[in-house]
Amino acid sequence: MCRSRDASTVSQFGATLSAGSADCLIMQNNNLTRLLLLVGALLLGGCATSSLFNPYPNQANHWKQLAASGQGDAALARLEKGARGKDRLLYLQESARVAQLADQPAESQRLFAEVIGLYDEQDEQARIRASSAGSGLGALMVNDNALPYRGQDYERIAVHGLQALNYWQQQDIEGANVEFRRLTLEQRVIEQRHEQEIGRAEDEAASSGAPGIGDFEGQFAGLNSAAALVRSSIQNPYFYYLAGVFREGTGQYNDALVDYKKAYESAPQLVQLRTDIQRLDARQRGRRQRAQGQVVVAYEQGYIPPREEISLPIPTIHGYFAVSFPTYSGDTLVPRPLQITTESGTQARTEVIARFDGMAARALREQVPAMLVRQTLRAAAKYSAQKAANDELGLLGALTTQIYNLVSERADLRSWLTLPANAQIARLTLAPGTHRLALSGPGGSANVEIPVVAGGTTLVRVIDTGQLHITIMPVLEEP
Amino acid sequence: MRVIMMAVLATALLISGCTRVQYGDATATETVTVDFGSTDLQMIASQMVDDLLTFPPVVQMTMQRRPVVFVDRVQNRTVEHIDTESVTDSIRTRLIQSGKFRFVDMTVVDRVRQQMDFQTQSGMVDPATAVTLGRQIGAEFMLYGALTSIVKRDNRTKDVYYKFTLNMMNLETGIIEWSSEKEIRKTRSRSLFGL
Repeated sequence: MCRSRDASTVSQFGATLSAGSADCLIMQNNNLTRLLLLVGALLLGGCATSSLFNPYPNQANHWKQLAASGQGDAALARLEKGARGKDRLLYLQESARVAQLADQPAESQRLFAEVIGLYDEQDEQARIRASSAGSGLGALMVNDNALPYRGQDYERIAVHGLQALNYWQQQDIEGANVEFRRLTLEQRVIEQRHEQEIGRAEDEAASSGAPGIGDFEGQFAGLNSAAALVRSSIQNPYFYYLAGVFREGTGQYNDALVDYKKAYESAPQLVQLRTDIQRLDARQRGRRQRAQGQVVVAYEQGYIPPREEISLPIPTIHGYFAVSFPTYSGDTLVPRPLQITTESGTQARTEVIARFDGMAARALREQVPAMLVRQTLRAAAKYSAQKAANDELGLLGALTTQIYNLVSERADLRSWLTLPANAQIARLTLAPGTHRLALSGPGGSANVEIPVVAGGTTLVRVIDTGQLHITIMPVLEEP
Repeated sequence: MRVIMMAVLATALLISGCTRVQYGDATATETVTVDFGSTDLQMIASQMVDDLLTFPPVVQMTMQRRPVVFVDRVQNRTVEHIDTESVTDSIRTRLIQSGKFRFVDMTVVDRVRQQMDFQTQSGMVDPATAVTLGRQIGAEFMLYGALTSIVKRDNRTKDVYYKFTLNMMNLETGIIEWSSEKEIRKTRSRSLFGL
């Protein structure tokens, strides 16, 4: 509740300021000062979960640590409060992933369903909205943190991919099928929309006279190198691969072949994919391997890095303004493989299929032109407010406005932080029966017993957060 | 300042306004979203039943007797989590109401067996009133089908196409005696302005 009160006050404050001409300001001099102080106090004393003045990555460290060390319930309890505020989408995404880490697929499924509902609502909303114009004005005066979190495209895709795994784990084959289909649909829709939007944003940036990303090559060097790790911020080869494994396991060879090929498009460096495509091709021509079973190890490593804040000198008509900006640093977590040893001594190691850190950096990189336009406008708006306060409100007003401007200048560092940094896969072909696998990676080692069925597929999912969280998915058998 | 206060007060009043509950027509057209909804379900069920009951060979077959049918399942091949059993339930109910068909229900077999075991083995039921085993009637036909969808979406519009296919197979001969299809297309455009 306390958050929504803040937001409405901010928007009113913004509206008053932007609507108020100079003489209007003089007439309401006293009242406005009081209002300013009130708003300032409200904002500064805002809820602990608000990302306005306490950067989101700092808050996220608590539940990331709790979830990593196996205290999923404590992490979920911490996240619950945020899941009712304006950043509901973000907190629900975190909660759903934490529930998955804590091996609570039913709870995770419920939370992800809520997230999907929120995304669907966004799709249905009118394109220009009266209610968001309010928080938009607030954001113009404060910062992007005042806007409700709307999610990133790569996050939306991960939601469907991880939700499909929830259904799979609970043996709801039809549900998992639906979710994998939805995953394919979303990737296609987002890809189309994305191309148009990037083109439009670049045109707008070029015509607005705001500085472009080319003017800050030095500052964005880390972001550029992280973004270069992947080919696309949308196509996620890891989820395509899992969809392929699932569909192959349930006898949908045509669909599986399409999925593997899609994965191959975005991760051509992976040797395994070529083998998979050949195998399916042969299977479609009637050759099948019935005597042995397939084992796939899906390994999700680390946590995606948080955004960092940098300060950029933005040129305005009044001179240069220091404006804070989100970025990713170039030193990403170097992927390390998971070693797999069977009881007979066969060795395998996972290979990187998707870099979530790279996708996040690329997504941010693509948003930078539009952000630069917005930040230039904001710098100008803040300058005007400061000038008006100096001229009209006397010392106290000027001081308040200055403090407010300084404190409110924070970059928007919100993003889904419990996603893995990268995902890797390995595939083994084993004889039917129960096998013991020894897994060893940077997060520790473990022994697991897995069932292998002739002609069946066993998926072993390993999430490494400094500790291995291992889930053995129900074996898929062809119908 | 006073004006602002009044505005805030008015907004607060509007937001906290009392909620209202009312009954509606269960068969009224529902167009809240383009997702699969009650109207689609009712349209599919009524069309399928009409189609089956007016199909000449079926009319002929059901003149003298009431064939026994069982509903297998309708595969959900859409991008939504739809309870397809609810569709087949509606179809089954309407067919039973028509008086032309009789049904056996495979989903309750376990519970039936439990009750039968209780009647015959627990020793608590008078054997004279206990049901006799091995007297159930085997189904002659099987109803099965699939629900598929194609979704197209861009910034402005969302277009959904549903196709429901239902088949009735003669279990003995393997011949599909009847088959029908129902298509539904729905388009939603996002408004330019809104709240």
